[in-house]
Amino acid sequence: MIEGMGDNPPLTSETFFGQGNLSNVKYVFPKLIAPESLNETGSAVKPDKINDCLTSLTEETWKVMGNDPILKLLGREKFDSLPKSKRLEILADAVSLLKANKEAEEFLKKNEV
Amino acid sequence: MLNGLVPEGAQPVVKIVAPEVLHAKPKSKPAEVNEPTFTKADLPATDDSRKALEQIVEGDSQVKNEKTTDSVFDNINKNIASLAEKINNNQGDVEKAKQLLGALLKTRERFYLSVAQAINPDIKPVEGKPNVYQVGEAKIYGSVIAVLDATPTLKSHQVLAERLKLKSELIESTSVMGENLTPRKLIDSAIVFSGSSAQNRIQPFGADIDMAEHVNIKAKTTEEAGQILAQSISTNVDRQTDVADSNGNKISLHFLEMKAGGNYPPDAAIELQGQKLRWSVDDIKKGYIEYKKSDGETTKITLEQACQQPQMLKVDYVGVTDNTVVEVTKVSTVIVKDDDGNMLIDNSSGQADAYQEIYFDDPSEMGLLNETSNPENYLNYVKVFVGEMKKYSQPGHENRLKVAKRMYNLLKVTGDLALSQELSNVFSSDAAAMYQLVDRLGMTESAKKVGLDVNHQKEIMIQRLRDLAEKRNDDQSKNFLGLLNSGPDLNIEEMRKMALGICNQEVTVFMDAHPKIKDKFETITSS
Repeated sequence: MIEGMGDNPPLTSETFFGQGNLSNVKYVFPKLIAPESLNETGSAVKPDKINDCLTSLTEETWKVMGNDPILKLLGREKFDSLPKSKRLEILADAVSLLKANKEAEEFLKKNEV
Repeated sequence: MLNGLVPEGAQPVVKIVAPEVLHAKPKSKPAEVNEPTFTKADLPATDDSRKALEQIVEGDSQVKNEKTTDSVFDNINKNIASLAEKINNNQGDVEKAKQLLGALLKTRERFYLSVAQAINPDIKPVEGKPNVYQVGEAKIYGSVIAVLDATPTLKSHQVLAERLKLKSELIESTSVMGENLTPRKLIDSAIVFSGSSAQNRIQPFGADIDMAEHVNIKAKTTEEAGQILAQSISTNVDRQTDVADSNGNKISLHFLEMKAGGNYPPDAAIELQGQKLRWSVDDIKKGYIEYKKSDGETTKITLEQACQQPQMLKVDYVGVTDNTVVEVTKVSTVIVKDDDGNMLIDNSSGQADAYQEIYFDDPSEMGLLNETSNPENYLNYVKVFVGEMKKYSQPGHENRLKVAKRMYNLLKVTGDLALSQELSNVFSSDAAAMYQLVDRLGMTESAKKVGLDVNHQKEIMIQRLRDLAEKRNDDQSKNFLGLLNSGPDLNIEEMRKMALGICNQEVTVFMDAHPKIKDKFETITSS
């Protein structure tokens, strides 16, 4: 697991939607990023929309994952006081987990006996 | 099916449990609080933008549905259990199910790590070593699941671990075309702390010191491997080993016995059949055990022969410190390969250890990456722990403290960290301390057998037990106190039974006061 962990530079608002995170976010929260927030090819979030998208992603992730025991241990207040790069890392990892879960769910639905 | 985890027609064990945090933690706002994580200055100030964001949030029906039915946390656990069930039942596309299970475990572990590091910044990934984490600046390592329960103080045991490690003085000297190649070690080994010894953050009263050793040997034949291993054991084992840890605490280890080579050979006398070969220091040093055959003749089995098929290789010591007596155990997994990589000896149990082991050496150097996101390891671990929880819940084997320990680990790997933390409180109870002390009093008998005078340590432990029993003031503890004060010749076996009864009662009361834990326990053990 966690190949390359520690090798990647810390995430920033500008880099967050690179590294596959944009497609993960679109897959997990299909309506979260409005088409007008994306560039012409749909491959990147417009620079002036990045913070909007990150804020709504944060809220959405806490809505969905706030019940997770380890996030509860951390607490929203502590989360909000973390350095931005750490908050972004947690968000990216939460989205990856949600993606893996959605893929598993789709597989299980398709293979229901 | 994942044995025991998902009973037919029933909900999976990892079913809906709304976790809650009972520990005193800074009060945090509920997750629903709609406060931007990125400060207002980061946001476009117009109301239209804010509205648009709200619409996006409100408009995501998937999220709404998940909130009103099961949480995502529950869904993840259910999906893990369902995938495990499909794999175990060989149902449908098993390879795809394994791949998805692996991805789910891997991403969940990564998510845990990033949140766990925010809670405890001492947990750090080791640069360039996937799967390996360390605790603080201490050079102790493990999987993220394992390091969650370790504290840097475990590092102080490294001296002890190093002393007990199997080493080889034999250096292979190879010469090719008259040119000497760099000599290499024939034995490589790493010692780890395992079981509750490796969980010193949550288990203050572990009964003994458990170590697991991973031994890699390079040999041309099984016979040569037997020689190398036997010689290493013979060199390594001493009647007495005195060690001071890095904090200056002294422990004196006295050899009790070693098990190696499985049972007595088939030609052994009837009374020896099915008995394990138990080696004393003298047997090891002379290199054989003499035994009686069924025809009345005496013969011997050599240590080298035993080492060719070591089966369970386990050494027991009694460790004596200034104020206590403790059992110290080392179980060795031996892997022998020839130069072409063919396996000659492998006595590994196949059990997944990476969830609990704490290494003193970088495990990747021994090829021991802690692959806790591996579906096979996960399934195996869950299966073993569910089985043990059931075993220790049965009459005749009933030991609820052991059940609680297994359940703690099971909750951790099934993702219920908050519930596991809640359960861990039972490990620091007075009853758990009493159980530990009685167990250690039992070790004073073993110490006596090897000629040690441990009366001083015994007195300290008895006084401590007396204090704990007086403090509890329930009927069972009063009876225990009566037994403790009944005279100089303590009936340790009776004390053990009574301490076990007190512990069973303590865990029962604890579970009654923690219905979510009790529900989970009942679901698992009745599956």
